Amino acid sequence: MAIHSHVLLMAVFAGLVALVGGVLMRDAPRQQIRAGATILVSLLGAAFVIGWLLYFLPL
Amino acid sequence: MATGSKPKSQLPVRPAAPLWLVYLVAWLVPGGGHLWLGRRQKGVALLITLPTMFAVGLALEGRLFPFEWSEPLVALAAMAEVGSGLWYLIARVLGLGLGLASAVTYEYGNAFLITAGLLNALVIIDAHDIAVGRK
Repeated sequence: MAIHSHVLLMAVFAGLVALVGGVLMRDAPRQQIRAGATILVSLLGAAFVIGWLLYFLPL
Repeated sequence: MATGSKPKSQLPVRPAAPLWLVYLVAWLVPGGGHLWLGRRQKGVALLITLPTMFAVGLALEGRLFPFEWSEPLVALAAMAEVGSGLWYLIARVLGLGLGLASAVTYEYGNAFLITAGLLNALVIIDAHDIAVGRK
């Protein structure tokens, strides 16, 4: 596959996990969207925070 | 709580077949269990999402790990991937998922493949909860 962008792949991964999580956690479509969005933002947010923390570590 | 006082959506959905057959269908076809139990919207969403995740994993040069019991992590990854059901079996038969460790996306592919299988395990548990009336 031609996609080599780590951020894009991470976002695709987070999006698919959020979709499944939202669908499983709630029954009503509106609530599913809200739960999925929460999962998506949490995953992306955690990835960016951890990414920046690692950036300052002398690895 | 008596069954009679439960909301309609939480009443046990009695499938025409035994529960183990519901589990089998839910494993083989991600979302199939939900469709069978009448949860069409959930079933269709899962039917699209999980195979997509599995296919992306293969496209990213991910590996379908062998059951190598001397390597516990490899065996665990293999068990997780089996969760994708029919798609896993088809990919195995077609010789896909050999994994290209030198590819930039190799680890990403593995993450997609393993997570797709594990998520389908959650889907099977959810189908069970619906079938026995917990959801």
